Amino acid sequence: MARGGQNSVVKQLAPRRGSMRPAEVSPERRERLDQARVLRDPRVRALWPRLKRRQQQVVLDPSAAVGHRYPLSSGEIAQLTGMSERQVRYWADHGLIVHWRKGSRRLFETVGLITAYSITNASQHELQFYRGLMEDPVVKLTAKVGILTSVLASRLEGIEPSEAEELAAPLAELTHR
Amino acid sequence: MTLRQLHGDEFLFHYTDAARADAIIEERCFVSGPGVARGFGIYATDIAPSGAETVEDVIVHCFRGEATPAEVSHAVAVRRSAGDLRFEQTDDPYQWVLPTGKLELVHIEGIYVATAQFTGSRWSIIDED
Repeated sequence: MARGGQNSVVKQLAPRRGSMRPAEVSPERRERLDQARVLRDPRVRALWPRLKRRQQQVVLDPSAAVGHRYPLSSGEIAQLTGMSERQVRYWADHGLIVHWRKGSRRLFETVGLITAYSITNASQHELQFYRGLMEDPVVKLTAKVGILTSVLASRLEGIEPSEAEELAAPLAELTHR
Repeated sequence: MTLRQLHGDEFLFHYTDAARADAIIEERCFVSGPGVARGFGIYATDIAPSGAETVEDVIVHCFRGEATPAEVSHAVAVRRSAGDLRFEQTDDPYQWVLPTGKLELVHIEGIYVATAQFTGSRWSIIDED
């Protein structure tokens, strides 16, 4: 009787073939799925064609280079991109390399490696510009943003409506925040 | 299991990225998305993973060109039906959907068959039920 009762409990708890139920996932899984959502952001999609072919291949299959699937560690991002670990941490902590944290460790998914490669592909001038945006005092930053806005506004006049929308979207999001 | 064995009428393919594929492989947890034609659901296609051109085909036919290869680097083979669950064909000849209501994350038992990964040049099976 007891045995039969246990079996029926097990049967009730066992997932039924062809069944669907809401998923409760661990915080870690939630973080990874959030990163997958960022991968679909138009700004990230725009980075993909700018990666070198070899970089695209590593993004698709990092296991060939590091021996396992995502997520990758800071050290592995450094190894794959040629940056130092300190540089990886710097850009990650300033929001340019997308990542999530497990305790004190920074972990990187597909979108993290794409953004990391984009940093390594950027010119020194571009990196200097980004560093300025991150480190300048607000007064100086305001001036830079003012100039940037004027430049972008003049560009909007001469481009296709769809391109204009793409260009204006990040600014709209900034305003929204 | 081989890729060839997946090229049958009984299977469809849910194309997704590495992190979402891991959730399916490890927990049978699917991320439901809002499609244009049929609302929330798990979307799949009958385009089977075969060569490098599959990625472009999937991006064009299933994502209207608005996806990168990194978003479709994994092909999750699923059964067209299992128990009470059944993928329904949409108006789009390449798309089937398993409606999920408003659920964003769902555990689905019984439809998973295998997962193939695109490595940049070819597809290979990385997991099977």
